[in-house]
Amino acid sequence: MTSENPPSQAGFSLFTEASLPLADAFGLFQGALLILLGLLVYGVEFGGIPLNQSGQLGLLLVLTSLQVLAVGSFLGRQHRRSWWLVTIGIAFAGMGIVSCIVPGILADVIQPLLGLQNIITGVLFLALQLVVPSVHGTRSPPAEPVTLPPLMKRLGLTVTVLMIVSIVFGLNMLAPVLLPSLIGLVPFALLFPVLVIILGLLMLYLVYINQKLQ
Amino acid sequence: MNDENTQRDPAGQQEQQAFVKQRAEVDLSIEEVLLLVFGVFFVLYGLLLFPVLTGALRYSLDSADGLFLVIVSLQVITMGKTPFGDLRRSWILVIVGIASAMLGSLAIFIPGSLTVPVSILTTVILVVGGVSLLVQLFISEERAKTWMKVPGILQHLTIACGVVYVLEILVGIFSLSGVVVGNRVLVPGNPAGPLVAVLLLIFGLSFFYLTWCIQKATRLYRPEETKNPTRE
Repeated sequence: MTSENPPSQAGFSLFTEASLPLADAFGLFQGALLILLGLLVYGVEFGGIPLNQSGQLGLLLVLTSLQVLAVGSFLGRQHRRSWWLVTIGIAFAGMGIVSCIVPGILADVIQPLLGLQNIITGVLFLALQLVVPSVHGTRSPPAEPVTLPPLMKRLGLTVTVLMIVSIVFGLNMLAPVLLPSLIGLVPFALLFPVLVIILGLLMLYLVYINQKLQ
Repeated sequence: MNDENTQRDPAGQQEQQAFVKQRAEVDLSIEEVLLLVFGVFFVLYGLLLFPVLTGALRYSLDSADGLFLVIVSLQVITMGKTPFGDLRRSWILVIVGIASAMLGSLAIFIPGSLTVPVSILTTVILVVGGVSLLVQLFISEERAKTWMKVPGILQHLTIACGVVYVLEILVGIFSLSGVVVGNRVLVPGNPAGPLVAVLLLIFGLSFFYLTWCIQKATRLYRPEETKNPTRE
């Protein structure tokens, strides 16, 4: 079993080489992780499992930082990986690691940070990918209407829904910070597991579509 | 004088801009990114242990072990690099990686629930993985035996790999002692505590040295000429 072995030609098998690009590999892991987290939060709310909130936020921040460092994905766009972006990635990773190792000291900082990051990512993505092209298309429409393949349409729709859910997730993360009473805490507690599971499922579906497109 | 030249020579200016742009771009592979994150993890772990040992901070061993397991699993999922050596990234390996990442995540999310299995897994990864990689480093014809013949960065690379693997085994032995004696090393007042903190700090710094060596070697030699060594 070395990398020199040619991939099997006999269709899908567990032992064939996984043609997973980096972004899909992250998506697969993040999707599975978010579904697990959502189910665990339900366990906390209904079964009394003690959940380490600092560790949970820390791990989410470490994953965000890895996406920044590895693919330059930050705030809804693919950036050139400059030194300042790598510095941001390392700083985020450091904060996430500290939050995991020493619970309690950074959770209050990381929660609004993750909220803002999700809101900005979703808003920027929707603005740049949907609003700007549609305004541009109205002003200078193409000579012939462009028809996208169904899978591409599904990809576009899934990403759009993912970004909308990201914005709601971000707002929900900010709710206990902005409204530190029951008005902020109750919706946060109720919505958090639902949103996290939906985000996880959407990420897995996105990986599935990307695999089909290959 | 330079400005004058570039005004006269737009092609040269473009070339210079492209060069500046190339310099500004950080050419980090996923392997180097994960090694950097390992470095940050162990440096912070070592630094945080000092206030933990004085009793100023409380720390979560489960979360630390869990996070380590998650980062190791990400190496498996994204590159097919296991703690015991490189394998072809098959779907079964990806599934194993995701399963171990889930185990690590569970250890982070629910402290106390998986202390024993996660500690044992972390110890096995560190000790057996470290020994396995050290043996491969010195036995394989493509690695230390070849690299040590070439003066310069490849010799540094051999040293960096050797240092990381040896420290990995030592950190694993500390982790093993935690499993055997029930984590009584990292308690305030234990004289062995600061030694462990310093060991973790040096282990973290060794990852930065290894990342620097890999990046420099990759720039100097084409990928097919240099087989990238890895910690895992």
